[in-house]
Amino acid sequence: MIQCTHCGTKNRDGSKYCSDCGARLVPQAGLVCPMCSTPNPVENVFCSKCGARLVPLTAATITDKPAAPAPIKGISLPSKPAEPPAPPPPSAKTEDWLEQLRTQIPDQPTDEPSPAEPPTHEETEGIPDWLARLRAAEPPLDELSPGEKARQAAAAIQIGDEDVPDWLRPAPAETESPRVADTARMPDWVLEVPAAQAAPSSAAPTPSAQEPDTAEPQVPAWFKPIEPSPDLPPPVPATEDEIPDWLKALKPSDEALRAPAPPLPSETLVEGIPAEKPAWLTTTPYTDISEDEFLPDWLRTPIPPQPTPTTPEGVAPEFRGELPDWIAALKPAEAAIPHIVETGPVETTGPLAGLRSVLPLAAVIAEPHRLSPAPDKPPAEHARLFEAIVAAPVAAHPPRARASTRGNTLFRALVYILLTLAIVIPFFVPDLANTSIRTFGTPTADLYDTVATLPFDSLVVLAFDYDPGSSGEMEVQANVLVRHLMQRRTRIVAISTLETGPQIAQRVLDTAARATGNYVYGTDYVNLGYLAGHEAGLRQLALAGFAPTTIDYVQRRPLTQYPNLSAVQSWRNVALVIQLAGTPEVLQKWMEQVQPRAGVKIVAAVSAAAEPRARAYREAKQLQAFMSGLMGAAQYEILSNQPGLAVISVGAQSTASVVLIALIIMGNLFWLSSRNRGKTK
Amino acid sequence: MRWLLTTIVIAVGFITLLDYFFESPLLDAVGFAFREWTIILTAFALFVGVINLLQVHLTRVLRRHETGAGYSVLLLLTAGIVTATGLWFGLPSEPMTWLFDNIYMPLQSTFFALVAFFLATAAYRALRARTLETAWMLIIALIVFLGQTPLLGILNEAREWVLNVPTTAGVRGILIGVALGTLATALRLLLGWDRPYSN
Repeated sequence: MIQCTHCGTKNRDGSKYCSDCGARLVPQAGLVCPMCSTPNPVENVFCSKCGARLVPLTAATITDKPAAPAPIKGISLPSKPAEPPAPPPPSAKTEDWLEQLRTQIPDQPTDEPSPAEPPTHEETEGIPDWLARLRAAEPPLDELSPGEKARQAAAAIQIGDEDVPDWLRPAPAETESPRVADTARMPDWVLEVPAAQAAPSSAAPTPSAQEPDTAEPQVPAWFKPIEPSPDLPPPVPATEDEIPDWLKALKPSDEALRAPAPPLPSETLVEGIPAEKPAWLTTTPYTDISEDEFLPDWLRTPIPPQPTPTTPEGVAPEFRGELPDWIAALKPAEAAIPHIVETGPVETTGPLAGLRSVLPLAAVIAEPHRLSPAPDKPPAEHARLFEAIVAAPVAAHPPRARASTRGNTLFRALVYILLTLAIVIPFFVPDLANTSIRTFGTPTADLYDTVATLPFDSLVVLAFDYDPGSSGEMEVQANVLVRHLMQRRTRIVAISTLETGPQIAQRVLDTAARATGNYVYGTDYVNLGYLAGHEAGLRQLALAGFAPTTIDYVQRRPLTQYPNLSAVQSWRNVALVIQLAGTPEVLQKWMEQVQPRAGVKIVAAVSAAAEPRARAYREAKQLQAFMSGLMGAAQYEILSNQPGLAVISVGAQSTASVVLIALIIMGNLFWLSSRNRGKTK
Repeated sequence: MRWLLTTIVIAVGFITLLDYFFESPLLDAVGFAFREWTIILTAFALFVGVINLLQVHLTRVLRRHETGAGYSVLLLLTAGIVTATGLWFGLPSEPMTWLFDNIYMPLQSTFFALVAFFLATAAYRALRARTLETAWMLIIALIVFLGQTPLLGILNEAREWVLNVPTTAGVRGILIGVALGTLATALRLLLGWDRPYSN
């Protein structure tokens, strides 16, 4: 568990941020992965997040006994007891290439003190402490084994870290003493190789003074040796003691430079291994960059594979960032460890190439900056497609769409004009549809017969269940019905289950009463207003009838104060219920809640939308008769011999229907012709 | 409290159901009271709905920059005028009748009449015989249109048959389906499986 230093919350191992406050968690102890920077416990060999190897890359693997290192947990590399390495041959004299380096320093003092004497205060004044400590190390570096050199170098670097800024701390191990640092970073199996086999190969000789003519033309101007100024004294060859230890460590031995390359260890260490180099040594990656040429800049290989032309071929491999051949040759071959690890991914690059399961995860995690040498074609095609899409110009709106919109507007305007003319013109031709309206055998005829056969002075309940929205076709029905009822001298009680119904009812009743001339409110008709409760109100009305305390809509009196109409409290006194239903739902409420329990005869005048529902109830004998829409009103007007607005409206409705039929036929013809044109093309 | 609400709902529902099926003075009296309560609650719900409507539009007006705030202002103004007129002059009265006959009725009728124009354009674009089903629908529509047009008057009998036989059969199927759905919903409420009153 990692405890947050900010809030104290305990977080899981490996967490980077606190799960409670979001603060960045500081790893308490362990190794930081060089690939993903994930903190790992000390005992980890591989990174717990990305799987990169931790142990060989840290100085902690260099123990005090390099000849017999402790076995590394989880590593699959073979170990071999180390033999004491032979000390490198001491260089008795200063080489020419070293003197050449000296000449590049113009202020180089010539009167150096004796190397046997300890450095004076003036000499050590301008030298960093870590360099002074390196110089004062004893015994001399030449007399130490490679393991001891590495240990001392590591210790010196660790001490020197105190005086170096943070951003420079990793640098000394690579720049100040590259050879020692390389030794410190090398795996143990490299350190264990005998010194005889560790001789540098001559395959990649370092630049020397013996080959100045061949190297000079390729060296840039800034790298050429500086000509000594004539004002300065001639350079004095440096003695052996004046050379820093880290510089001595860089210098290759004379034997190594002159002697031919020793036989590869792989030929002698392991039997049955072919003498030729493995593929990872003979072939270089990124040879096929043909796909890169087609890739955008952001997808190209981040590390250019081409060698820089200014780099001389004689530069040592360690300066080129590669592993020297003589070290690479020491790498155990894959055939030598088949019994150890036989499964897992095979490393194809780097010093661990050929080994299995070295990195459990994909190699791309270990080397995130390198792409595969031969990218697959699909990504390249996708990249080209993406570039084509991005580069494609944005298509402007075609003018055809605007023309289509204008055409739609014109077409709509034409349709509206036609429909308006079809509705308006029949009002100036009253007898347009009068003779065409058929009345015999229609439901309206049944309704007319039902009203016409009502006894004189019978009590009729009239339910105004439509709103102003449907009054266009409902009010003509209500008008003709009320007029006919008043002609029959029936007593009318109006009611409504809609909030706007009472006002509509009052308007229709008053209009019909004025037309009749002898109908009086409170005596011949009364408006009982709004019946609340929807189904519950209708159910209550069906079971209990009109309550005596029911207040009328106009005079605000109880029903009992209208003696001519108070008989409506019992359904037995009601001769007929006429419902004016604007929607199927209100008709359904009356049919479900009132008709079965009250046992009263019900007829209806419904809108055209409610006609199918009315027909169903009529088929079930729940509804005695009905009329529907403008056509029903017109039929009723003709049957009652009082043609009026309904007949004129039916004429307008008929012409509008003709226009609609023409539009339907035209639409289908145009659609069929356009479909056939599409098939022909 | 949920168990109390559930108990009340189940008890009232079963009493009302028993009152529907059986004749009993006690059940009639209790059922009558329940129905009266329902009517009162429904009327009060209308009042609550009006308050809620005004509150919603008042909030929209106070926020100013909200879309449709102008319409909300208009709604609040007309609601205030009609309410004040009704309270001052009472119902029915000449001012209220004038408002109803000259503003409310024409507006509602006009709004409803606009459907005819939309139907005209829809008839041109939508009623096309693209598939077998739409072809059948087109044929039926033409029959009903032609049958109810007195000027043509050639398909009256066909229209009557369409409305009496297939249409009535379809409507009956719908009514039976609605009744079964209502029955299932009522059972769920009576058994306490659905408790919309306690959510």
